[in-house]
Amino acid sequence: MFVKENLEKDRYSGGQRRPFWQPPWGYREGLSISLGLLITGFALEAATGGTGLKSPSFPYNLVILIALLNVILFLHAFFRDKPVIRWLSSVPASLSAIILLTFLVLLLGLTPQPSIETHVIQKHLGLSHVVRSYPFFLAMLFFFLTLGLVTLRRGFPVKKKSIGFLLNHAGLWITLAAAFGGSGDMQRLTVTLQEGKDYSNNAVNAEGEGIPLSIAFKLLDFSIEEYPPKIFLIQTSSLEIVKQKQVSYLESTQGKKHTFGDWEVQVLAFLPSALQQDTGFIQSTIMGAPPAALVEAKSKGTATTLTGWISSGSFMYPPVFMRVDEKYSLAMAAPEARKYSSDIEFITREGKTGRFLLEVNKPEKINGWKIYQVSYQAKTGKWSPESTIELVRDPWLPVVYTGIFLLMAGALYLFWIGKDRKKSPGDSDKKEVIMQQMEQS
Amino acid sequence: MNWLNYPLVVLVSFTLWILGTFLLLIPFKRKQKDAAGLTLVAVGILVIAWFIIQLWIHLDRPPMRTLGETRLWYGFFLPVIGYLTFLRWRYRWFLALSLLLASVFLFINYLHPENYDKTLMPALQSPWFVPHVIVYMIAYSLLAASSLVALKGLYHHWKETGVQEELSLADNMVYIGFAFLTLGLLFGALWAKEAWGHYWTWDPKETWAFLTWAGYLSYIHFRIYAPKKALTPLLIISLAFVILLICWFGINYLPAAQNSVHTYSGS
Repeated sequence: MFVKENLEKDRYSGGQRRPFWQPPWGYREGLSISLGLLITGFALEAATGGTGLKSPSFPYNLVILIALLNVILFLHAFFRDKPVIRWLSSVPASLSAIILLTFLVLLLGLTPQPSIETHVIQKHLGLSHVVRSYPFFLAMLFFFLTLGLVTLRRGFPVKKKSIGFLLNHAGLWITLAAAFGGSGDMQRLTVTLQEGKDYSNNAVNAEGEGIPLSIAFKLLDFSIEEYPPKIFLIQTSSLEIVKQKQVSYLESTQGKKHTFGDWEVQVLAFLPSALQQDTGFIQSTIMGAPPAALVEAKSKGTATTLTGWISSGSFMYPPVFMRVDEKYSLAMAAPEARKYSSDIEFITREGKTGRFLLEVNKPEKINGWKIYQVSYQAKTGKWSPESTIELVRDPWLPVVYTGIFLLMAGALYLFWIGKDRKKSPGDSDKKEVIMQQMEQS
Repeated sequence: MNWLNYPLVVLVSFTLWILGTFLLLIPFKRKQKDAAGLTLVAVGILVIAWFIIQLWIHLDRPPMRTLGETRLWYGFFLPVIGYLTFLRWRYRWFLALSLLLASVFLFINYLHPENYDKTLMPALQSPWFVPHVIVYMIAYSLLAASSLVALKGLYHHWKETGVQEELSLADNMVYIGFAFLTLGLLFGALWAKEAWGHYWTWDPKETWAFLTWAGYLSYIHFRIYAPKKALTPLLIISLAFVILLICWFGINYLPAAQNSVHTYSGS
């Protein structure tokens, strides 16, 4: 890694090199521990057949976290002057833990997760499921240990100067502990509701198992608001959009104009939902009626003017193009959703009833569940008779948010301190002296 | 005003920046020329700002969806940071470099014209959208600025002249940039909870955002531990910036990221 070179000389530059593993430890020992944990992790993963670890759920996760916290408090309270504990709360240990964790996340970032075609070696090293793997677990443990110990050593007793440090370090510990410790208690279930059907409480988990809920839902109405469909110039033979500089499409809104190469095209009329008749398209509200536009194309070169209807088509009707010459046609793309929402009624086992409108980015809270609009039938689009909603329960969320808000406060603090630091570019020596004093204290 | 007017906008800004930088760089009658140079640079920045505002109005949505749109913000924030740094510390080279880097990104937009697109998918329609992107773009600009400083530092290191001044300036930029990076990451997490049901799913973009964050975290810790070291921190900044760039747009080319929920660029 990038910090390996010349690391040891930092604090021992004066005298001769300190023998390996002789306290006080530095980077060599830290990186060796990281490497050792990594190898141990991979060995454990391979020995267990690459199954990874299952996140413990309540109450085991709480017990484990409390135990971890107590170990850290105990080590700090009784062994803080021992060289190993002193080292664990030092910057070299923190950096070693950060590097180990970062290395594993890098593996995660480079391997598709979860991939269907997993090579057996990939699986046995835990690379198909990095965040559930043994090496990741050991890295987190090391991380929690160093972060916890350094938080206690440098953050307490609380002084004005250590507030930023405390917010950032304690915030991170709390966030990560609650996020990882609590992941086993998180429930994510989906329910697919049909318009016109009665109440349903049949939820499905990620593994596809059916789970009955204590709340039943009824979809009263599912609706989509769409953007005006885009009109493109396409190559008639391949149906490919003709690439243009910058502005590439015409919006299907009455009066809008756009120039496609030689052709100046204007939308004369737009019907969001229409059916083709002998004379052209007329407005219609029946299911599957696609949007259509009456367009006029004027050729600048030949001074010809063409007028005709185009339509994106739908799952029931074919698209309609307008040929402008032997090579090119005007075509309308399928409309894109601006927003979609489900009008839902619910009833709980206790008899509580209610009604809500569910939208993307606007979840609803009922009986400890957070409910999300997820999807609809893509093929039928705005005539989708169904809507899929997701129910999420995450009892650890308040703890995670507490950590996140501490981190945010810490970031703001860092921002101001960062500003204070800029007294003069040459003040790094002063900072160094302060740092050394901190190290020694 | 839309992307069709863009070539003119960059031409005007580039001309103003080149003239302004020229006036700031030649060591001759500094007092009078500095004022003129700074004015030219400022007007160039305002032209970009004005274009962003016009584009926002024209698109009828925040221009923050596509890579090209984010590059535009970068081309705005980076000169602003260069400008403020100049006002604070009088680093002429830094203002020139930040204008140069901003110009590179703005020029990429010129070479790869954006598809004008008014649509904004429902997942992006959130009060978190604007703060998340703006905070991230400020962070990215500051961290790019720190890379420019590191570049100068590497040059000085190679020349065997002192680099403490560069490192000290880089520290300031990384500290503030890291604060913004953290806020952007956390805003993203809070938004993800509202939009997708979970604050962190190790989506490829999230994974690489974490790696970027960890890179600068390493820098900060390394600097605290070994403030006298020169080469290692400069290399950490450089590496972290490469990771940042992968996170920002390299991710679109990674096989591991084909299923990312963060690909909004394709239309």
